[in-house]
Amino acid sequence: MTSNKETPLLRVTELSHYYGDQVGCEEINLEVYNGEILGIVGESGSGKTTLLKIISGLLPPTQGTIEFDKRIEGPSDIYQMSEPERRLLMRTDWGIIYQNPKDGLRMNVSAGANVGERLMAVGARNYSYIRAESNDWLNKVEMDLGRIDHFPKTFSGGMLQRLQIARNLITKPRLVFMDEPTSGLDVSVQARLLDLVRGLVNQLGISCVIVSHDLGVMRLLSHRLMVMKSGKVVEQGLTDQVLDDPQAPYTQLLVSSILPI
Amino acid sequence: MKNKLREVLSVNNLKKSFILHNQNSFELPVFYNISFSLSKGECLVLSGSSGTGKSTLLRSIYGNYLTHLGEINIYHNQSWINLVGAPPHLILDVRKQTLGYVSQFLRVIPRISTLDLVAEPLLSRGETEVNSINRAKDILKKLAIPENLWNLPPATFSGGEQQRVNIAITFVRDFPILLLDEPTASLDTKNKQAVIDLIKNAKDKGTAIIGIFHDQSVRDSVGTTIFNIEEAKKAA
Ligand SMILES: Nc1ncnc2c1ncn2[C@@H]1O[C@H](COP(=O)(O)OP(=O)(O)OP(=O)(O)O)[C@@H](O)[C@H]1O
Ligand SMILES: Nc1ncnc2c1ncn2[C@@H]1O[C@H](COP(=O)(O)OP(=O)(O)OP(=O)(O)O)[C@@H](O)[C@H]1O
Ligand SMILES: [Mg+2]
Ligand SMILES: [Mg+2]
Repeated sequence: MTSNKETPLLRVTELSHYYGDQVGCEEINLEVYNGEILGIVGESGSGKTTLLKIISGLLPPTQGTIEFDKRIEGPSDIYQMSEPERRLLMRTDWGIIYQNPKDGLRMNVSAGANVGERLMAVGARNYSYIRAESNDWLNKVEMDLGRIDHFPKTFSGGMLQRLQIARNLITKPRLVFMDEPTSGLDVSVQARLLDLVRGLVNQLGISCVIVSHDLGVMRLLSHRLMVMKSGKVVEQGLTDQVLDDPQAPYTQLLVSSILPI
Repeated sequence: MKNKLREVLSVNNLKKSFILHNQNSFELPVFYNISFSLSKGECLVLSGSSGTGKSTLLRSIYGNYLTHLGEINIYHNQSWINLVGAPPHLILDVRKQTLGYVSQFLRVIPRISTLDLVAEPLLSRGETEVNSINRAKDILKKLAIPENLWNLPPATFSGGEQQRVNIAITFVRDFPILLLDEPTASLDTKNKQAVIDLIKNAKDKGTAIIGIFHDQSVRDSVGTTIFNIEEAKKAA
């Protein structure tokens, strides 16, 4: 159960990143607790992807620390640990769902192999076990098992995202990062995918950081919401509070410029 | 005379105003110096004319609206905490265990059946599937939601049916404290009575309630105390 004394799963302190003179993100502080979904919204170029890449181990920041609560060692700075150590975390405790499925999948191996691969990466060797687990996960994401031997390049956008989800969740990560997981999908496919994500997160008790520009999606999915503008966090709080009683001028503008949600 | 031992909520000098940044940072004061306390089994009725801030007060207590000044002390997990300035995950925990809220309108995840929506809060706090479903069915029956609707998402339901689903989602759990914003607004007499019965039943079990009820007959049958926001503002 969450209490205010609990150690956060992820803690980001005074994080800034610059691409040369260009601000990527600036002075970010955030925490993610067990079982919690944190949503990040903000206009294009506000630094959401930059922040997500940094906290998921893909981009060392210019400044600041990112601590992950490791199972045995406890909170550890992810960029102070060795490269192999960080890679292991990325394969086991973390999952990353990319906006573009081509970044998260191997397009020239079968759907089944894509899903089984992460299991093998954590040491599973028994072929029939891997096959059974993969099938189970393809089922969970509502994929037709008849397609298990097909290559991802023959799949639709929604199927590719479901395949990414299965590939990531099969190793039961504790923290999953998603960058615009439903953009580019049509509305009904989006809704199904979000239900799926929500159900799985609930069942497995995993934590999630989700970037999306869709406030309606955020209201239904995320517990807490963070609003970014020009690389900075302008506001963060309970999702319904941020949307119903926004405090920052930018958030008030953002919320009032969309249809009621 | 109130019995301090039975107290579960106490609001002290609470203030709420909205600052509208996109309208020259105009400050809209809603209320200030609001103080009252609430005990087990009590049903405090908020009164005052339209726009005086009754819904705003409920939402502020629930943490849906942010307050900066004053205190909202709540008895949670065997101890008293102040919700003004509390971190989000603590408020979420309070909402999970201690404080329920029935808003005026239903807002739920699309595509999920009514039965699942009502059972979910029980499942997510670890009750068995069978148990959760049975209790969900029970409350839907009490609220006279026709059985042929249970497996449908409520998006296409009538206003009154949606409102009763909303009530079911909250009343299926046993929250120590409930906030009700016009729960009977769009209901006919028979369904209104079903809701009154649920409220009375909860009170008898010790649930403390703060409610907004426009309907005088509902106030008369469930209310124990009246708190008039306008008078509180004048007295301040
Ligand atoms: N590799 C890079 N080199 C230089 N500048 C970059 C690089 N990546 C991002 N930026 C800049 O950093 C800023 C933040 O970009 P980022 O991709 O994080 O934004 P975002 O919030 O994800 O936007 P969007 O909603 O459009 O995806 C932008 O001004 C962008 O041009
Ligand atoms: N999110 C908000 N942003 C700005 N102003 C708000 C917001 N919510 C409420 N208000 C304002 O606060 C005041 C009190 O509104 P509230 O809804 O609390 O009144 P009420 O007493 O519940 O009225 P009614 O009986 O009509 O429901 C109104 O002037 C309203 O416009
Ligand atoms: Mg981006
Ligand atoms: Mg109202």
